[in-house]
Amino acid sequence: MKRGVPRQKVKYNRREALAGYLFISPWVLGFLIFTAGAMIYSLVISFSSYNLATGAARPVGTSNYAQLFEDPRVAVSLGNTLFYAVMAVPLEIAFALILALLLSRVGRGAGVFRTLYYLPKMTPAVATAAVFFLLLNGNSGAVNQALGAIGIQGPQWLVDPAWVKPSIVIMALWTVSGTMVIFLAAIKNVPVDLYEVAQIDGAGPVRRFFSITLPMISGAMFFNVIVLTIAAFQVFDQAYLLFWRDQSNASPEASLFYAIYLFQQAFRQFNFGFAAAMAWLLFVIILLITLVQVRLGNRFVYYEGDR
Amino acid sequence: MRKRSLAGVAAVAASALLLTSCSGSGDDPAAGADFSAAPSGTLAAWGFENADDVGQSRLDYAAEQLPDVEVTLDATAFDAQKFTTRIASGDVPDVVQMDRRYVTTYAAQGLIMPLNACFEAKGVDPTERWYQNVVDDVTYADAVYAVSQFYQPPAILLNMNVLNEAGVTPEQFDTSDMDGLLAAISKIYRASGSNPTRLGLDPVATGQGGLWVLGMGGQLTDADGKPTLDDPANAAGIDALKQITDAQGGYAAVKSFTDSFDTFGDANQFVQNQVGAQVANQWYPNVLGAYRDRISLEAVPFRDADGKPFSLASGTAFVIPAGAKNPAAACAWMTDLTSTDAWMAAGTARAETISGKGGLNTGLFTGSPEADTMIRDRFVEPTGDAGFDQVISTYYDVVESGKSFGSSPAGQDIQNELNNAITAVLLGDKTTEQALADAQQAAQRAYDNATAN
Amino acid sequence: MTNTLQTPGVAQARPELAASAARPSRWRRALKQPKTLAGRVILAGVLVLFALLFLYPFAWLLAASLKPRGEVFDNALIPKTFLPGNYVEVWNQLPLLSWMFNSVAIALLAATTVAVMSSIVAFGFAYFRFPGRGLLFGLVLATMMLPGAVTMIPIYLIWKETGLLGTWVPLWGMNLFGSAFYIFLQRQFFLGVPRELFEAARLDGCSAWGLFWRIAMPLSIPSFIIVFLFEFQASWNNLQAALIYLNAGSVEEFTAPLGIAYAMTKYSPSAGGQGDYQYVMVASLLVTLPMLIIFAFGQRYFVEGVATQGRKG
Repeated sequence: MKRGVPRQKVKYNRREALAGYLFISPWVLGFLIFTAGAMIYSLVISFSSYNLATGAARPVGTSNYAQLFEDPRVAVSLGNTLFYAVMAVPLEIAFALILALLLSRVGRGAGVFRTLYYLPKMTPAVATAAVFFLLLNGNSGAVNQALGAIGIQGPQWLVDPAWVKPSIVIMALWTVSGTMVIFLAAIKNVPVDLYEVAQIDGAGPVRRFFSITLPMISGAMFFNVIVLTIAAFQVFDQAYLLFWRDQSNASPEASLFYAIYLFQQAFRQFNFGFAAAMAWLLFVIILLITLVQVRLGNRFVYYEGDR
Repeated sequence: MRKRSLAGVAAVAASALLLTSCSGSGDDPAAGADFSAAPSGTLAAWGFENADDVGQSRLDYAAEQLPDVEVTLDATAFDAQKFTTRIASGDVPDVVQMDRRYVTTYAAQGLIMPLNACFEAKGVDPTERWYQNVVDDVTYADAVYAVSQFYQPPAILLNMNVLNEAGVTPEQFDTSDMDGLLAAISKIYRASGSNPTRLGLDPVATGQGGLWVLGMGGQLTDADGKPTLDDPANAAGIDALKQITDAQGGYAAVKSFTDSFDTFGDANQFVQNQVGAQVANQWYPNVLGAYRDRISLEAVPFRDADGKPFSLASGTAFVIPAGAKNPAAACAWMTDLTSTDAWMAAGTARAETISGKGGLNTGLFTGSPEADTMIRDRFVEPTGDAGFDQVISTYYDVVESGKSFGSSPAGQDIQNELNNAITAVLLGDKTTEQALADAQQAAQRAYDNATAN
Repeated sequence: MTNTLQTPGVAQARPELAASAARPSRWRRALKQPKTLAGRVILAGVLVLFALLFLYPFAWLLAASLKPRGEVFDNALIPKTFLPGNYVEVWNQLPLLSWMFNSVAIALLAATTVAVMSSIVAFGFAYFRFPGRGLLFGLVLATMMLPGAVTMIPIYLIWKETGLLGTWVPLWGMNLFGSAFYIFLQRQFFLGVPRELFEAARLDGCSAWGLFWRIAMPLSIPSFIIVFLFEFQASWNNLQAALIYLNAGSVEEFTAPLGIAYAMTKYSPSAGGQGDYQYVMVASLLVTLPMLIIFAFGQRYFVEGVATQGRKG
């Protein structure tokens, strides 16, 4: 940063500025109503208790927030979601990276494979859930039949509390191609010269990966980790379809993700106040985790062109 | 700067809107409803999903009785979220069909109308028209809130082919003697690896959880409807279920197995000999009647700890949501649908279907003693299959010993929490004590919420 | 992409690099591919294996959709009993046509409005200079990180106040205000358009709107298509919004995801159904088909769109 040079006052053309404001006004309006306004509204609701019959909300102070600590389901669902995130994000990153590395080594034909790998991502979540509901059946599902063929006794994916989260992870891995594409683009951007130099210096493929590839794609890695983490905290569709779609609650508590419990409280029980408090808790947690990740990222991410 | 003050205004406006939209609660939801008016106009009804001959014949009968009423029927399953959303948006149907265990939940929140005035207007005495426990299910604070239909007692259906092959007798399926029961189950149980291929007894743990818990001496609510899930007597039923599922590969394996049954089809679990016994409601033998030349059935009642037959009253009921636009027509429609004449029409229709398709008449269990007896006398004859005859009369016997679930403002939650507890214990997630304690906490919170307003 | 050779001193220190830079580009590609035949075979093998794994559920879905009820749970990839009649019967069983129509209509509305409105807003941020522009755009980016749950309830209540609860409007109405991610994408594109183009048009007397509509938009068609396709897919797949806003209405008004969720329950034996899952399979396949077709035609747009996200980081 240059010191001693006074900052010039930028002069704005009034007509241009006005035009600018006009062009962005739709977003500003939407922001005021549906973001800022909604967030304030949500805060107000979280301090009240909503009555379904009359549609009225009674202010109740901080009792909704107190209930966040008293209700064991909040802790359980939060724990489930955290556990899932810790399990899913590294696996997704690793799998996507491996696929991207493999694809980057293919000359022609990479496009065909990339298309095939991308197809699952185009599948609506309902279709994925419907198919995997049958594929993951503990007794007759294809996954366990395949495992049985190599002598492994497959678990009860959709009923056993220890395996319900892995089943969601499997479905997430099936649609990992979005992450893969980002890695692939980043890998392609690594200058080949770097590899040449390293090879001439005698570095093996593993060394080349850790010293060249990883740092050079660290920007994409950073982006993917943040995006996948935020997504992992909001898991809803598949878990709902497989475990909580039925009104009869016969699913293990291990499959109760935070977003599902929030949805149940908001739109099944209409406990809007409590659900709003839950939403704010989620917001704070995601914010903290993202901040931590950004901090760590700024230390580890290597930006090309850094002086 | 502009943005900040705008946001501030929005906040104030939002809070003002929210807080001033309070209106008094605790009004009588039926105030202003005149049930004695002549029924006319349109009636928006929600129920009768998958109406069969029994349902259709009663609908036709009611239509005949109410020529001035035009009925529009939303024939989809009851969905709690849909119901509460409709109420929240103010667009409610006039009649809704729901499981009886939900009725008091909505009654306690003032979301449905009490029907005493309706019964008076139509000259119906609830305790005469229905079995006592059926009425108790839908009574809250001395008012009856629903018109009940059906009374599906469960019993244990026995697959005699499997039992004979294993050398087990029906008397061994005695739930008051767990040791004998477990021994019988082990004789029949077969597995390939750790996946069951034949079950000794499918207890239908979450579907019939109430039967097991109450049958073994438990108590889900007290006299006021407060949940008592952590009553130590409730543990017996859950422990029994755990013993039974653990003896057959564990609950997860059993559930995956039973999930894949072709219950309504040609490859059903009795034809395929996938079960030796199964807890089943009365309508299932009706389905199995079509396969009587391939299976041999008998039935034994569920027995309580003293060895006496035990059964639970379950079924559906009609309610009138608060704010319904045509309560008079709703009242007339509901009472006509459950009158003895309507049931006789249903019985006739069912008998015709059976004689046309060549099935068996297993009787109709309507929830009304008069209708039940008349239908049995008129239509149920010896089928020529001794096993099925025994099954039919077992169910009729068991009707007498039916108990009520208990009517509670937290009824829906009690049912859900009980299922959660059962699932947690059977999967080995929690101990019975812990599971029931957690269930009680959640149900108590729901009770407090429901009665606070 | 930095050329290492431009870094001072590298060319002298590494003469072999300078030499390699002078070689034709196919040598560069060759460096990446495995050298040995065995290496290439293994690579191909692994890729094919993964491809099979990824495709297996589709094959399974197709097979299951052609089976009768009793066989749906068996895992034969070739159905023992071939029942194409399922594809005829499903239209009687479920109001699938209504569902697809609803989904298409809503997705078109959502995609069109968001693409147009986001472009307008993006152009505002890209071209015009006004006080607070940086701050406001930072705000746009910040909203991308907001979890939907925080505003889910108030937005529901807002729609309730407007009386539009049972309609389609809540599912696409907010797109009238643009959407942060697409604003970002379009802005990236507009920033790449040389300012001289606009200055020249300005001198010719073009209005601000004209700059946008006549110059920027036509140039941004590829990017516009990306936005359109992304939002179409997102709207097609959106289950939670349908659950919140459409669940209380009649079954014919459901969108495809909500309809299939409903079908899963309708046929579930534990909820009173008869286990006719084959219809759920048929419906799932039919609902996936439009997405696959769109992908077949617009594949490069999807890939480009996804890759752009990562490039910013």
